[in-house]
Amino acid sequence: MTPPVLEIDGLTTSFETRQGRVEVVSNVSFAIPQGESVAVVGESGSGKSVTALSIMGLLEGNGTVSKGSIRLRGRELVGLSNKEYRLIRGRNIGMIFQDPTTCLDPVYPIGHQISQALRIHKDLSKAQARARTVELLTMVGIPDPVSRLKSYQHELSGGQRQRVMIAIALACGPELLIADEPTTALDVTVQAQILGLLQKAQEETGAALLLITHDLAVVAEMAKRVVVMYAGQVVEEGLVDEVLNQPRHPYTAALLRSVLSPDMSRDEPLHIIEGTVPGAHDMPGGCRFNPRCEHAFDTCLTEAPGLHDCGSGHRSRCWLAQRGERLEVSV
Amino acid sequence: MTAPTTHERPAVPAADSSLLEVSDLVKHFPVRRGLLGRRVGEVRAVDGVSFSVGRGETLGLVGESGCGKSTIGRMVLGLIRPTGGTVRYAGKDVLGLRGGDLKEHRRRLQIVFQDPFSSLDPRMKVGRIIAEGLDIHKIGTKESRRDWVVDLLRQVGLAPRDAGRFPHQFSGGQRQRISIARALATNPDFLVCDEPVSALDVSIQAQIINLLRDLQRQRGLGYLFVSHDLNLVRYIADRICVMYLGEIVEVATAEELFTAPRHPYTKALLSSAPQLRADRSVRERIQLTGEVPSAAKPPSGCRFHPRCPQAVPESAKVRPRLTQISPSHAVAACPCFT
Repeated sequence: MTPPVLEIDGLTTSFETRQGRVEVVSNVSFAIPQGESVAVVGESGSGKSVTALSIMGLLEGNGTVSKGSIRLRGRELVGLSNKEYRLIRGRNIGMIFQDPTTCLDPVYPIGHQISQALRIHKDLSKAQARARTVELLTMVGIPDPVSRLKSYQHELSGGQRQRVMIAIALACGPELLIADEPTTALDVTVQAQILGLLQKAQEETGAALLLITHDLAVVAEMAKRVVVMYAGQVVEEGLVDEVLNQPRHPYTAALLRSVLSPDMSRDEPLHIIEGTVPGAHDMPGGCRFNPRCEHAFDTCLTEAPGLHDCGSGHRSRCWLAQRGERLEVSV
Repeated sequence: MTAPTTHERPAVPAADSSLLEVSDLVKHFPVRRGLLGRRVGEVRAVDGVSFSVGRGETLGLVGESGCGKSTIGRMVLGLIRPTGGTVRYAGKDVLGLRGGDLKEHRRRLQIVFQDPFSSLDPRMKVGRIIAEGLDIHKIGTKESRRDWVVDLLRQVGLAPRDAGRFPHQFSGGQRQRISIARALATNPDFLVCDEPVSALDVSIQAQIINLLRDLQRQRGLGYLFVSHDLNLVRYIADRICVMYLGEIVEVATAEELFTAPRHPYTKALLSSAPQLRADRSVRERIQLTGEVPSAAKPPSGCRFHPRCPQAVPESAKVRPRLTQISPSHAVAACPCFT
């Protein structure tokens, strides 16, 4: 059996700070098989972006993967040198970030930036790289691609810049695409275009997709599996249809209830989750969600639950799930 | 949303009881080039917008970036001067106000900004931030101001001791509570809410929306609620104006706009938002091509026609007029659907 494209096992990432070492991502495990899409969803401070940066080997100087393994097609990435990582990023892993203005180089035309990616990783001649660049720009829906080769990023709209970033990410035919909040900065009609493009690109190239987002509706439209993170941990994981319809963790259930849906009446207040996400320095004992959880009981305050398999790969880090109790979900 | 509420919901255009009345509002920003800053053109940020908001009513203003929704909010407050048109508040022409009258207008209208990080002075303690308006408007004595600040903090869900802390000691949601307390300090009867929750996490958004909703009920506040989030506007607003490139393309009650949208842009906007539990097999997504054109060179005729899936040749020639199709529903009548 071929190994999954991405396999993360017990990933723990910490940062050195003035107050000492803090663990921002704790013991995160999940895998993405060939051609599949997995969404990691969570609020600010959940550790979702740090998880993505750990995979890409782009942690800032004071951050390190302190435990666990990250395997790309069976190859261990933890411990690679910067030089080795640089060969993998761009060729094996394509990356799409939230803000294309800071990711594209303002002083080079976009055609140059795409063909540069090709020439570094693919040993193509100048003419071959140019032809492939035009092909890529066509694929991501940039009108009149030949004349656009010489455009600079400031001459493009936000949606077009994001298309160029997707073209660069796809350039070398990566096995894994990582998209970190790819549409958060875009308007809603453009967001629909970019999400459609990502889906199409993934289908055509057969790449695995890791989507990092805070938006459950985007998860519902884009991914097959979802990993819900809270305070640095995976709290729930499973098929999107199951997790969003039958959540087994109170945090996921509460998050789903606080999403506005069209049939809500203003005469009823919105469902809220009291309090805020704890900081890495003041993690509560026991279950990390217990101070905000409406179901918490004494065990939750003292003992940290493990991830419990509720069947068919649907896992929940909750004592209720371990007892086999179901949560009430109002849809 | 059909249940009766305590306040009346004026039709479009609102009844005589309207508090805020904006008519034919225009704002053109000059585009300057070169060393001498010669005026080479203008951005038509807002181009002939009219609406009204009644006492205790919420009017939602939705649209994509650059449609002019925030500029309208600022003109209503008198923070920027319109190029043309009028803003009337409680029967008075806001643009003609001077001195004490202008000050009184500003006391009655307040704003909550989007970014709770840049809109609070980092060097001022929270108590002073909230009391600043009271000092400026010389409301109350020193003691009564202090009590009022404590009272405001409680109303927005913060503790009295928070008055002595600095903004950086608070999370995003708490800072937005401070902004709301500051806006309420001068006892206004109208708030412009400019994307008040879009910088916040989902679970925190709900806290702030509930707070705004409760405050409206307690105080009978009117809201001009500027947002790009359709589900949010549907929940909070009585009526909704959909804007595109400086113009209103459709205005209706929240209920009517969502169940019976008429303008192709409104339809596209409604279908574009990703939905959590939509039946994806039934829902038809209208995917627009291209992006919003520059407001410096707006398209002729119906400004939406270059992206409109159902545009007809006449769409490029005739500038559609906002036309009443029912007492509570008006739409820019483009030849493509009329």
